[in-house]
Amino acid sequence: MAEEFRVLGKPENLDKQSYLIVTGKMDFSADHPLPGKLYARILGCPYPHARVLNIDTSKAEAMEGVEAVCTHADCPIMVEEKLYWGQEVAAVAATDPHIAATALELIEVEYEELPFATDPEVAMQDGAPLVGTWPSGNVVVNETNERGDVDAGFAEADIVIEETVGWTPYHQHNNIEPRSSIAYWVGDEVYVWTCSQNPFNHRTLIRTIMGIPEHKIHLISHGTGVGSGDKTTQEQVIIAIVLAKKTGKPVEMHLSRREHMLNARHQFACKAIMKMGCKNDGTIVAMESEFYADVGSDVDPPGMSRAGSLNGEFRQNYKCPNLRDIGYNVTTNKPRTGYYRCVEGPPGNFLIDSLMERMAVELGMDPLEFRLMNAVTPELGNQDSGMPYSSMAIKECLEIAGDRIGWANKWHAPGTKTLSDGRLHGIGIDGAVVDKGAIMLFPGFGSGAIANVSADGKAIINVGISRVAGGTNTAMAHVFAEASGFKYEDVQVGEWGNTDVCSAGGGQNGSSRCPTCSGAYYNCGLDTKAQLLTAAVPRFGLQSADELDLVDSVIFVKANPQEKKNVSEITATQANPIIGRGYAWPANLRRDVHQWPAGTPALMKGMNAAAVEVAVDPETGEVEILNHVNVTDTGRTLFLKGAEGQNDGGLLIEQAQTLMYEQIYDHTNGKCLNPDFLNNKCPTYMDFIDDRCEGVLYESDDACGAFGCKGIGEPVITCYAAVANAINNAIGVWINDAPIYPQKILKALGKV
Amino acid sequence: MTEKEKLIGSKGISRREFLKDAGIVVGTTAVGSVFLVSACSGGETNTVTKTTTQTITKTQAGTTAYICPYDNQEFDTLSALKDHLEAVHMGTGVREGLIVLNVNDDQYLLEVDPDWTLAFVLRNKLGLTATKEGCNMGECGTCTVLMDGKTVYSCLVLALDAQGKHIQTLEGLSDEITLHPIQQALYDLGAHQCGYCTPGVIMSAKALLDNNPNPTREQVREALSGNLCICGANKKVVEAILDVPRRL
Repeated sequence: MAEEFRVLGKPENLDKQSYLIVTGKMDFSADHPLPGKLYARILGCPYPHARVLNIDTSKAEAMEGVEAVCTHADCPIMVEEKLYWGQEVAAVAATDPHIAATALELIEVEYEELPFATDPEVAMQDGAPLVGTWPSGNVVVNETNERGDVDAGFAEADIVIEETVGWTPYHQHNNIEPRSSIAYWVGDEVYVWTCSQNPFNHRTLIRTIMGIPEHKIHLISHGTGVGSGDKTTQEQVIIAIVLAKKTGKPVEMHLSRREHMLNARHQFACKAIMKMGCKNDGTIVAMESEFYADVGSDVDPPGMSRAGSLNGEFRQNYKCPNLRDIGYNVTTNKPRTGYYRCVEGPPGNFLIDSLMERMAVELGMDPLEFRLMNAVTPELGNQDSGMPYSSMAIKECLEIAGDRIGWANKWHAPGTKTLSDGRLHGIGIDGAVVDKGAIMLFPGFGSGAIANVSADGKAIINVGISRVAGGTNTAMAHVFAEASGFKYEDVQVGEWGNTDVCSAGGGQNGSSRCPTCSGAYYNCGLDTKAQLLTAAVPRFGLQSADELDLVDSVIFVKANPQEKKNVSEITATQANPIIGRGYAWPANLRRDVHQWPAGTPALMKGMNAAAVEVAVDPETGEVEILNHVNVTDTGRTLFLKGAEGQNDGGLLIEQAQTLMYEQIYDHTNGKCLNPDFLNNKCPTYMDFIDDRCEGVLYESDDACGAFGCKGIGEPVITCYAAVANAINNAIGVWINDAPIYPQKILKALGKV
Repeated sequence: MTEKEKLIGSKGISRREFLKDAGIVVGTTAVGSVFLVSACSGGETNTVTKTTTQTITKTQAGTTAYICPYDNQEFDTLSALKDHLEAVHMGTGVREGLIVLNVNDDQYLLEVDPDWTLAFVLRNKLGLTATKEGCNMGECGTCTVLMDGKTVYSCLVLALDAQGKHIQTLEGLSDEITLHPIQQALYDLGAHQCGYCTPGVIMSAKALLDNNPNPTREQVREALSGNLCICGANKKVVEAILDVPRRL
């Protein structure tokens, strides 16, 4: 059943917004030239846990160039009790950022220092200092879940292993563009430019916090310099709005690197104590886990159980009939946590696949074979609810990854292969079924679509999401063109990320934009086409639009394709303009294609597999990536260049998460030691050897997404355990926590 | 003494040094299109500096009038205007950081604070916002521009120190109708993701290709090693830069 597409996945289709980017004309928030713009800087709390008793801002306010200062008294995102080092205490707006920074030093604050804990192992203990504001203390337990009979499962196992893996790193997103906003007021209406993954939800956030009705908030989010989850809840936009109100002038709150690294959301850290029982042939019969999640001082969304999310991954990643889990969320005096390219996917998968790797070694089995044997199958569906998956291709992803890296000839028992230069050779693999990349239809995440057809017969779509990395706006132009019958070059992205002009586009969270928005643009395409054909009926002297079709921007009579008119011939003489619209739901369910019974509910999942080959220097502990393959299931590739870019990016992040990313805390004073790029190193062009890395896109043809698509933004980075597994395969010793620095390798090898 | 004056004083930069530096620039720059830019901040006695940007009017083809921003008097040469400024207006509130910057072959006469970086001035005073500000401490590379043909992090260069240098930003690379071959290669290959690092990447690539028209992959990576890309567009970017030589 090979379907032919006119537009989707074509390599020659260019990004509709590329020209803006390569000329430097893409407008990021702080690029807006507003006369008299003021600049804001943030005063951070000098203690990891303290209560503000008194603030005197008078000296700062008196400084020349300073126009306003805000504190918890008038800025709703600032609170009296500070829960981490660097948390916002006050902000200054001044005529230039240096004046604002200087003025911060003139703010006099009296604090009451409170006991703190930045180490989750300490925060979890009885009698530990109370970290934050959770009524139940520092730990919230995620209740036990069980399926099957776990004790009986372990009893029938031939081999049982128990391992503790973690902690995974607590780290920031390292976005090159820090959180950045400009706000200014006209009367009682506020204009906001901000980098947002979710402009419409951001508008709602501003309304909720500030009490401004949404029709008086004009929010524009065009360029957004890396989202990765951090720009879903960008609280500091409130600082710009408050200071703009106080001064009556435009205020830019472009966070400094340090302000950003301390006050943006972080990826939570986690640890697991896991047990697995297998038959001698490799069949998993029972699993048990205790997950611990260090969620920092606050978690987004509030009340979200990260340990619960980890358990969710644990339950569905591999086939296992008998399973029991419990989770503990631990709060610490560290910055707030939020979304990082999914929440639980990458670290959860790191924990689970580390366990899988150990079991494979214990069994003496090829780790790829072991994973394939226990991989979730399409027939199985969700192992708790029995609900079927709309696509399930983890087996295919793993097989492709293994094939591309040459697994069959390269895998060896751990610690058994030395290269001619004395370095240790290792190879690792990992596969993940991620609870991301699905259609999201709850309020704030649904999507509408608008297309205006011009007099010369071109379609202009307005997309309610900002320009983040993957080019989703361009992907929507693909979907619209494919569905409507327009040529790709006859469709343009007009406005985007503008809450006044676009229809709600939901958020680029949960990798949900492609599957969700695509439904809206699919339906919008069909609506536009229907209107055009109806308008064309009298021009052809026909009775019904059913007799016409539209392909490649040409309307023709089905019975006689030679009888045709360009779309422009219709629109040029059309009094009422053609305005197409569509919604994400009802979606373009492909149940007819897949011959699914109507009304069958289904689960959509993201899939990713990675295989990595490394050389480890036993004298220096240095890891060199020799080969890295990242395979992601797109369902259906809409915009090829964008999808390739996302997947290639996954390669870099997988390496960074295993080898580099970490915010290091001094637990004696609660300070972050590396809130910058120099000490929290990111992969440079020299670290990431691009020609040794290969991205592969697989199309499973999902049964629910428009044209079979699903989201890939988060799945692409999930399999970083592959890098760790390769290192373990090289050195033959387990390293239980990421990032795997050279010193950890040397320690594992007994060299230091 | 105001806070700002204290700042200037504490850096130990005298009025004379400013003028001397500016004078050297004036003596060496060719007459081209000239823009006058007034700084918006400070200067409690000086209302003129709070006016908006003034562009010098070209009276006829080939001739340029240099207009004093304080009294609208016209001069034939930039140095004559500078002499006039020093002689007439220095005592009446002209700020001390009056400099000329040569950016993309345009001459900008503007007042700067001694602690303003080149990145800040480019973005906020000259409106050249292709240059981004990602870390403001020389770590991310998105503010990379060329100074006399060499890459610099413009967040680490004081505007004062950029006097007399030939500065190139992404805006100067093409006329926006025709792309520079580097831009064209990135465009054709879709070699970017969010685009925030792209301006710096392009400038680093330009410095490389100007000196080494046929770089190896390793040399491209080395040339771009000061430009962080967290989306991970690296793979396509390197391919695109390697594709430039056949387009030149």
